[in-house]
Amino acid sequence: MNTQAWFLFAVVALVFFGISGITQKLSTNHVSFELSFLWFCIAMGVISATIAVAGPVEWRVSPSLVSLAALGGLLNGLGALTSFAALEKGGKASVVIPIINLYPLVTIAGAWLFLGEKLTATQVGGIVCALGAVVLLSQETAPGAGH
Amino acid sequence: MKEPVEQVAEMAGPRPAGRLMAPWMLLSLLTVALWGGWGLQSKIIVDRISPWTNQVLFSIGLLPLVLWMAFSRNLRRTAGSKKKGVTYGLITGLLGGTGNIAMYLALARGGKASIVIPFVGLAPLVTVVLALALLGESLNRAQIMGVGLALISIYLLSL
Repeated sequence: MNTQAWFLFAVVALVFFGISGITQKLSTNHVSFELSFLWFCIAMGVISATIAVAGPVEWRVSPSLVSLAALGGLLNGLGALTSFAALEKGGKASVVIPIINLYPLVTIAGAWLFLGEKLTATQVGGIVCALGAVVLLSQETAPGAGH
Repeated sequence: MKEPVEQVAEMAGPRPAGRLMAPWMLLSLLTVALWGGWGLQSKIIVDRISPWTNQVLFSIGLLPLVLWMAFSRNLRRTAGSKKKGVTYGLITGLLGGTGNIAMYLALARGGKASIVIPFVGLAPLVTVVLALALLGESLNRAQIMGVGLALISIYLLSL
């Protein structure tokens, strides 16, 4: 068997991201989303520090790029925080995780609006599916009602 | 892995009376908006900086949030075992960070972005299957269709 290395890495990413939705929910079942998020950030910090020491990091970066990268961290971190809060407020992992992964919808709309990128037919199809998915996933059955 | 999970899953009821949207739904949509902005930032920065450097500098943006949470009044509120909650939070970060590295490596070792990104984007399917199997969650018919449509959408949007 000669499975390509890139495919194995892609499978690891798929499985790890998938399991992280479960551990995120389990964490907020026990402690506040604030504490869950804090420990999530500590783990991310450890990984970044490891890359900083052992990885191929280019340290000569302009201040504007440092600010842009930090802005990415801030936006990603705030999104992670609200996702921890959504799970703590009773959102099911099986509903919240598919919804929050629809974020490319906003990226593509933003690229169209602010970067002048053109929308492809595939992207328009994806946006329509995303909107339909949010409506369907928000249909929570009342307690005691049949499915 | 079941402990208080079933109770919390049952709390995920319909929106409270008088509210347009359940708080968890509002927070989920807020996540979509914030991560959408992050995706836009990634589009702008991707050709100017390596993913490794980006991952390191990215952490600077987390610092104000860490400080904010560290002084939060609700920080010490618990509904179960603090040790388990903290451990699962830590594991979430490690899985997320390692998943990012694995995705960078998949792209660096010859995987085409047009294959790797849509493939990894299907990770919510893994979460849904595990949530139904391990957390005792259940989905109604509309939500099952919603998960299917979400997966199709994630795939199409990442092509």
